[in-house]
Amino acid sequence: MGNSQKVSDLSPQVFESLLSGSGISLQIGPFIARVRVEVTSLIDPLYRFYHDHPLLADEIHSFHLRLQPKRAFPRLYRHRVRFTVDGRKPHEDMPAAQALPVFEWGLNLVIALRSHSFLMLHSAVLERNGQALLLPAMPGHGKTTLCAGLSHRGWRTFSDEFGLIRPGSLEMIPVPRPMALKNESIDIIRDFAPDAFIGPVTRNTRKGTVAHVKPTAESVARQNETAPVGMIVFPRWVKGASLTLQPISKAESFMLLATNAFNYELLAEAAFLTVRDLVNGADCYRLEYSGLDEATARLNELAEANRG
Amino acid sequence: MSAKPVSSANRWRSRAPDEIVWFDIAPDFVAFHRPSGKTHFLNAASKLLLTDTLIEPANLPSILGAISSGSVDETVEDYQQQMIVMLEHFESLGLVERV
Repeated sequence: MGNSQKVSDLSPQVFESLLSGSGISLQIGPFIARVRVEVTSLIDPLYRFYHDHPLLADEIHSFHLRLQPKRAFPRLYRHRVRFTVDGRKPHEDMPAAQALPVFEWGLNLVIALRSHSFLMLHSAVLERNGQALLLPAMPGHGKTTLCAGLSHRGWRTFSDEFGLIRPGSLEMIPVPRPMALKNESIDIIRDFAPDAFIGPVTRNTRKGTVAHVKPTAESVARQNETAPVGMIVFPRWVKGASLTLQPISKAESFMLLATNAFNYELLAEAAFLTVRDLVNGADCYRLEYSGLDEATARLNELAEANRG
Repeated sequence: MSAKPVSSANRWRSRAPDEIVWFDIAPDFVAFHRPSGKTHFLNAASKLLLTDTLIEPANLPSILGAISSGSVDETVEDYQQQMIVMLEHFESLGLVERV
């Protein structure tokens, strides 16, 4: 992965030509994705979102992704797109208006189903002062909003979705990608981080209204730099709630983290040992919040206190 | 749960105690059971049972005596019943067996 060329080194025209032609090879964290997109509405958003990602050549790819318009029955299906991975279709064709979420969710699906050389936690991960913060949470608990907020308050983003760690290691592995904001969180991040690049808004998806926010350039530039876990915070957004940040026991943390992993049962003892070591080595908390300013400020304080 | 009824003649022992990997989270324990690939949350008494009391086959009064360290009357039916329920549960999980 020694190539220094990035997407931003290509003109938009060349990017479009490559992407819709034979495809491009993108390094996304530990993965090398061959990406081919023939949906014209998606070219510009992808150019912007993956602007800072390295381009590679002649690599062995983790997976081949393709998104193409599907017009088999023009009257009924002309506005649909087909997502394939290594030539196979993991789900039904989807509305073309949802092309960007389809692509990003498709990539999530591929990672979740295939990357069993890693323990995969359903968690946002960020880094500050050389220590990783895990934010494991169920969907709807405000994980991505908090991740996007922190990434614009001095934290390096590893992922808003995947906590990747190799069994036997205590180092989190970055996989910086666009973060999918849902519904009210889109405007919350617009207000909170006016400089953030937020892409097109897609309505009426299975998760409601969705818009993606670009990872910071630093997060992508340093995507090969792992970090040990210093804190595990289980966040939950509750409308109108006062902020509370409470230490929780190792037993509860273990249970929450193990049940939150995508492939804990599959990795068996290796997963048990990894979760054990993560919980043993980190301070564990439960966070309830409603205001993003307050929550990010509190986590910044915690990181500073942990520093020293 | 086991279909076999428990009798006073039953003796129990821990199944392959070295097949359990322990995580000590005082005052409790997390145990990974290699043969089943399952993770269990156990209290200190359960760990004592699996790693000490039942290394050699033991009957119900001996088990109750060891677990309670003499602090309860092991002939009381309530205690016996609770222990039987626990042993049957451990049996269903593959952690103990009757011999």
